[in-house]
Amino acid sequence: MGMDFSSLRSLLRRCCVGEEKWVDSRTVYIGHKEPPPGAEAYIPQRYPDNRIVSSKYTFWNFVPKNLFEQFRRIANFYFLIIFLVQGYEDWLRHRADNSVNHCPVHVVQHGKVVRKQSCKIRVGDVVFIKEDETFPCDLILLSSSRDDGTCFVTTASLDGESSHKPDLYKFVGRVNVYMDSEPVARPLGSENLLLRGATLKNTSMNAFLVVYLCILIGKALVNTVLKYVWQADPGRDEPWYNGRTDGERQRHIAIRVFTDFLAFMVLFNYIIPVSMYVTVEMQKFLGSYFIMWDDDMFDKELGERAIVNTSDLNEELGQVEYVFRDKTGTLTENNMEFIECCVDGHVYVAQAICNGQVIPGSDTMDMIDSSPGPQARVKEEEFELLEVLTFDSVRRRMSVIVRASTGEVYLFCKGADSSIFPRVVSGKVEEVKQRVEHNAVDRDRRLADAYEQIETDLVLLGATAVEDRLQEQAADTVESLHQAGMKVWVLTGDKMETAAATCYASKLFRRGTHVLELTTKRTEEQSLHDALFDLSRTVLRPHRRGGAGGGGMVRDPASTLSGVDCSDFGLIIDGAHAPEGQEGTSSSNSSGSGNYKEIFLEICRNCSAVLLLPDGAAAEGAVLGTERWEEADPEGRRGGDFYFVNVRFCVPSRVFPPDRELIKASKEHPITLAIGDGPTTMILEAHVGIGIMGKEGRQAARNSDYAIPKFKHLKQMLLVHGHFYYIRIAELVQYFFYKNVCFIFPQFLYQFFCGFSQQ
Amino acid sequence: MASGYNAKEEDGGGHLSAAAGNGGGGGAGAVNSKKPDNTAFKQQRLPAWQPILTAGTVLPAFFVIGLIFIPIGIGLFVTSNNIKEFEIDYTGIDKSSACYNCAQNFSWNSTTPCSCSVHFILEQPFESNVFMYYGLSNFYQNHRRYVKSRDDSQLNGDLVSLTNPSKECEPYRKSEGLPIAPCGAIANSLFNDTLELYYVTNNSKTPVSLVKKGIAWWTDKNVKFRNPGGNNNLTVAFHGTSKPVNWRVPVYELDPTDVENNGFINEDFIVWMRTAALPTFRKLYRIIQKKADLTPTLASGQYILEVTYNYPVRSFDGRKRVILSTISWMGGKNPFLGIAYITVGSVCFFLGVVLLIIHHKYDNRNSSADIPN
Repeated sequence: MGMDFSSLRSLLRRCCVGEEKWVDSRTVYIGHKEPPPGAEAYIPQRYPDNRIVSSKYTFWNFVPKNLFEQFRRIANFYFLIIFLVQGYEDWLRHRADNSVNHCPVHVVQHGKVVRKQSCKIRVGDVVFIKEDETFPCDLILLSSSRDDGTCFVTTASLDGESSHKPDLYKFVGRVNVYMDSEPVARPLGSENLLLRGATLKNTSMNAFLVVYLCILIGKALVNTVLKYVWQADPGRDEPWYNGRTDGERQRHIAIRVFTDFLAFMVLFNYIIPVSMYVTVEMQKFLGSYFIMWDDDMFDKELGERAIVNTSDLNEELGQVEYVFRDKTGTLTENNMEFIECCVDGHVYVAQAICNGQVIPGSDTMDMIDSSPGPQARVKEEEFELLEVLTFDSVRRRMSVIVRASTGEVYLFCKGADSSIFPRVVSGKVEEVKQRVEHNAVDRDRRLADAYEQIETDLVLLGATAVEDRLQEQAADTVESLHQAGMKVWVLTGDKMETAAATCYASKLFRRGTHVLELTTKRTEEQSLHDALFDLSRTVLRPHRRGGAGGGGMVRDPASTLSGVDCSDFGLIIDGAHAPEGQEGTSSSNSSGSGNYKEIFLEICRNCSAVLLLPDGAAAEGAVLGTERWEEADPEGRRGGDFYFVNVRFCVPSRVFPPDRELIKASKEHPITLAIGDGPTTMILEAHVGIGIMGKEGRQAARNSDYAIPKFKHLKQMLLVHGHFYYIRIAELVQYFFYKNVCFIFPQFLYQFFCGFSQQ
Repeated sequence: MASGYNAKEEDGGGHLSAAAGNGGGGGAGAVNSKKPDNTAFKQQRLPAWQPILTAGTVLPAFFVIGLIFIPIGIGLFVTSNNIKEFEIDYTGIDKSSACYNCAQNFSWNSTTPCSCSVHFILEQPFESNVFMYYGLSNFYQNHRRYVKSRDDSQLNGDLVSLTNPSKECEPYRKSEGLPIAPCGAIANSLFNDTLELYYVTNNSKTPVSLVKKGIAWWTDKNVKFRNPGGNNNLTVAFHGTSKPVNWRVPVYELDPTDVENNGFINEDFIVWMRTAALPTFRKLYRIIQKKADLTPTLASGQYILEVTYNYPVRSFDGRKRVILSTISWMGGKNPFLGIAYITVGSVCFFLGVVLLIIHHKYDNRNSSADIPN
């Protein structure tokens, strides 16, 4: 199929939804055309249809599946009501799904463009996507209206970043007839959405039930024994006024004992709070409406209020210990503002160079910004575009090769400063660098433009600074969470200084915070082992830190901390050192890796704030991050806590292999909460997932357990509602047990006064 | 007063007006449709009150409880003590007791009833109405098998149940092929001692008039218990049924002196059928009405209790007694309630004093009123 893709219309092909069978090879016939005779045997393959399914049940399997779920629990009498509640919640999900599934898409059929509902797209359809439309499914780019045949994809609905990315994944398939650049946007399957609260709660509930069952059986046994001891006197067993029937007299003693035992069981069964399930479930379900009704969590700008997708988790909101969040779009507004530009060492402030210069970029260089920060720059209109080296997250830069009217060939490169500076040979590097540092500390993102004639010898042209402001009250929220004793972990794609500055601005690190670093710089000086060891010593025994030799890692002077109880640690982890650290450890001594993990966990646990910087490869991280979260999931899942974070950022899983025993050994099992505006698996995997209804993308809101309009509402959510529900559920449960004991204990005592006759 | 009002600050209609002003045209409708109602219920602003325990609230509470409970307790105790109660055990366990022979020689088959006379002396006169009870001990009227051994529809006059009593009545359901009326263990074990009371003056016995009406609950007598086929000619109505095996007379001859008091609506029977909750119990037997003149109902002096000894209790170590008692507004003699009140009140008062001392001695903090105890 020799495709001259520059002449084709956009042909996009769907891969799959839900199960990601990347390993399978697929033969897909474009436009449902039958293969030409003589081609290899045509085996019609069945593919799932294109419905997005975030709901757990379908209409027809709801009853059996739910019954199955319910009857796996111990006490299953009153579950009809839970059944209805879950049905109602699932119905809401169906409704949300339907709104997506019924949105119209254009499909090319027999040479004509036909409108279809998005759920009716079949594998093999050729889909026609206009600008600014959402991809209804996973697609393979066949062609685009652009001359170079590429297209740019906004992944806002996936990760919340409204950047344009030329390609997200290298598609490993057998479609190598096409071009290299195949943007594939995958709607995130949420079949792995679990009703986590249910399982978690049931384990503890089952423990209660076992205890109460023991009490019940114990009571019944005691009473049965006492009954027969008491009845040993025939005058008591069967006085003249209270005779037995003949049938009863002839019954075997064992049967009589057994039936008496059962009768006592029936009498005392109330001690097992069976109805508590229903009451608690109803309380949660009805209570979750209060979250939705809360006026304080209504956002005027978005016109949205909080959404509760899972009412099982209300009380866990009040028990959260670890908060994971990403930066862009969650903490910040995801609204890039151009602040200043520095060219040849001169600083221009915002208005001087207006964005207008960029946007009307001529047809030859109609470059869409391909990362959030930078604005593509057009030097002179008469440049002729030769080639675009697109942005990728490994190089962290992109370049444009142009031929000037003078005939000279230029390469314009832009990217993160860390990737540009090493390649710069001339230009006023120092001034720009200074400026960049300054801006960075001013929590700006900055990018450097470089000019190059030969491959690596770039001339620095200047830098731009773009500001992404913090969301309103973000700092206040973070501080409140800190004061509530929660530990906040942030992941960001920024470079360390920027990220640290952001953290200070958002009060993640406070003035007294003792910042530790585990970064490339440190590990160049020390081995990973030493670095970790020093860190752990610092964290675990702060008062003896002074002479421990960890001074290199500690920013604050030791003197300021000597008198202070520095339980407040901040940790910055940079993944860049991981490869070499990993080389040294995993190859030489794989058994030693477990120790690292422990040390690492220990360090992380003792820090009130952790800032995670992805390594160079994950620079513009969040998209890649999504992928990586998934890779790391198995570990994180088993840990039931934050563990996947290390795997993802610090050392890949080779060094920290999933070690179930170790994780089980960590007793605390703290409740974790993930918040973000993209449906990363982070949200799905943490105990409580909170989605932020960003300006883009509602995937997060749909897939999370709770959705709030703004980050600031997290405070209200956790500290008010979470606290309320924790207290309420605790009181409810306690009252239940109190009630049942009050109810049953007199019954028990009365047996001593009625001849143990189960009256 | 240290108490917390768990209500949010009202922030008025600020949100509402802002939201309305914000979105223009169609947007305003969308915004408002999602905006939560600003009602007290939905915003969890309903007034709630949670007491916060502080020294300022706890100490007065203890003293107040103490000061209220102790007088109530004293009042109850005094009232209870003013009730006169006299108890005679006539089981006949000791050889010295009058009913020893009757108790020893008891047989279900004996046709001649055994009688015994118990002499006793009332030290104090009993004023007002005097209630005469019989009491049984170690008699498990609350045994499950016993309690359910009755047929309420039969007792309600149901003709079908009369001839075909409920299975629950087994083994007291049929006797010699005929259905038992009334069936069941409860009815079968009806207390059938006859008790008569005589006042002895100058060696002459004066019978004390005992009223046998008005001892059952009104609802029992008029609603729950009814004779089959009305009250006319009970002999015919109960034709085809058998008397309970341990009874000496059929149910329609329970009271030879009053035709209206026969059958299922015999008051002694009704009283018995209301089973007691504990193995030691007393049931009302007769009422001695107060006299029209000012003489006491039972003057102090010597009395004789004539017992027709029909009811065996020795087999299950039971006891039988007769209780004479007056009543007051709080019922029969029950010193427990008064003692309980006095005890609780005293404990509260004592605790209040102790806490007050602790509070004064050890509390050196400034805002003492706000510190929870």
